[in-house]
Amino acid sequence: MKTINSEHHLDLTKEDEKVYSTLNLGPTHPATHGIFQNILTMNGETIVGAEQTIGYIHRAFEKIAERRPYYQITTLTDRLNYCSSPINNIGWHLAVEKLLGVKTTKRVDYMRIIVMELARIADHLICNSVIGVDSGALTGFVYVFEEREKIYEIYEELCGARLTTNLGRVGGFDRDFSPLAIQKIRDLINGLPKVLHEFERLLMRNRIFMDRTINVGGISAERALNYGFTGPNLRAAGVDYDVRVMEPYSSYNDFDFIVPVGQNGDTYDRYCVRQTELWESIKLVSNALDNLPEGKFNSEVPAFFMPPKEDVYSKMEPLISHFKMVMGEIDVPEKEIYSAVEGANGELGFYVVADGGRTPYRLHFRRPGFIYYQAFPEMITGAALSDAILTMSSMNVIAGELDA
Amino acid sequence: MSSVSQYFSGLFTGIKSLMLGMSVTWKELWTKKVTQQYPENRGTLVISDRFRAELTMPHDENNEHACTACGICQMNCPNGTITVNSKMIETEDGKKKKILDTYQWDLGMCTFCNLCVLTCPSDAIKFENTFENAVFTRSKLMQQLNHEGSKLREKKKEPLIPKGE
Ligand code: SF4
Ligand code: SF4
Repeated sequence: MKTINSEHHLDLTKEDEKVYSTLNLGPTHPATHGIFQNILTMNGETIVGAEQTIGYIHRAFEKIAERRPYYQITTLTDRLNYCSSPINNIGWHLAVEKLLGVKTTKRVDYMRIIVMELARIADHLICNSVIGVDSGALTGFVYVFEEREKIYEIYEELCGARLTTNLGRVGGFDRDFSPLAIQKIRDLINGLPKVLHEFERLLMRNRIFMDRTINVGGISAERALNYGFTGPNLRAAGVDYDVRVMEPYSSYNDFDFIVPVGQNGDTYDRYCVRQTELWESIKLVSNALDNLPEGKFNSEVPAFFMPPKEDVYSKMEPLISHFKMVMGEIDVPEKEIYSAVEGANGELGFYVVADGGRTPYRLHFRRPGFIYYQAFPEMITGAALSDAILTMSSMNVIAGELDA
Repeated sequence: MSSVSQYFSGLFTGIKSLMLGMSVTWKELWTKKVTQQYPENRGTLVISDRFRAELTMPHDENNEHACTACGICQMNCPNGTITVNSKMIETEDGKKKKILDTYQWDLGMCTFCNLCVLTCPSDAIKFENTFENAVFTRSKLMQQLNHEGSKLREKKKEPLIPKGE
């Protein structure tokens, strides 16, 4: 096999060109779950070289964000990892709160944990069932989508949207959880274990599934760290790094949960890590819901949290702060911060440089999927084409994150 | 000999797994269906009250709304979906006053982010959960939210949108 130089280009001789063929996997291939392009050099069924293209859906979020007030940027974060947009929304809110030095109430923290873990459940369900689909087991996918639908109904009940949620605000939530929402969350976490058990019976010890996924698309812990892997993909390689534990945000340190780690960093380990995290997330949601403290569902961020509408209508102070806020006349400290949350597929970071104006001076979203995709050619070289597709789905690369 | 026993054991395993599979199918046949027969079930369909589907401007029985034509929603909309057209009138006591002429909302450009509703200081607009918004021509997506001949209501009156919504 030819060695690949650092740019993943092959030095092909005339002879090789007769043997190798070039295959365009993507950008709109049904097996790639989104707009990914991979130019593969194939020797029969074996991949000998790969080159990935990034930027098919370039939307320049950071640039758009530089012209928007802080609270309007939440709508942009929806579209990063759209399988778990509430985590992105809340991650952004946490970043702005860090910038402003705001402390939220325990209730807000717990409500956020509930929402974020629900989003993680939804995301992991999709990812794990899609691994099944790509290895030929469609049943599990259809089966867990019922549960995902329930989670989306909970989002509907919480904020009013399903996919692009724009959930909550800087400093908390717009509205409290409605009793119906709490009922729906309880129903979900009561029903989910049964479904998960059945889903695990379908795949976890399934001989065909194991043969398809064990030792497929593996990456060593060292290489993973060098690439900057985070989240389940890094944990599958054996590194116990989880932002929720390393730098607890939103009162995650109040809870006990297991951070599962794998050994080989292959597709099967990634599947197992996600599956275990699903169980932990269920526990987290039910713990947070049981211990949901009383209190306000927002914190008073003087210039950022909009006062209740009744007050705006009748009192002077709220009226002034409301207008100041919506006209973008608020004071933001000159600061440079980095705030990260554990997104469903890895560390989702927000790097904000504020110059005191109404908009951020510079901004960078650390998109985990973007980083995984860099390692993709290395991980699939030498594998069969069908394994490459499996590897891609098991890394949970979301097309929405590939626009940097 | 062993090939014969293999043949039969294979046969029985096959039958066993078939029975197992069919028993699951049989059970599922009698469990409650989770799929919904939309649009036949329109009457019983429950959509969350908070669902953001269509921007509306509530009017009271006197055809009065609460919009002061301040333009804040227009300014805060990330997509430029809203156009607030105002006009100047002269009231009876000779004062000049800005009132709402037309309030245009372009459904096709809205991302349903709720920022307009959040930022409106007068609580004049809200989202309804009427989600069947499909139309046949693009021009129908452009909607005028204030009714024909509507006026601004008095400030002292009860708010049109109940508290907590
Ligand atoms: S919901 Fe968002 S996009 Fe739609 S009109 Fe309101 S502010 Fe604009
Ligand atoms: S709807 Fe509200 S924000 Fe928009 S112009 Fe009317 S009063 Fe102002």
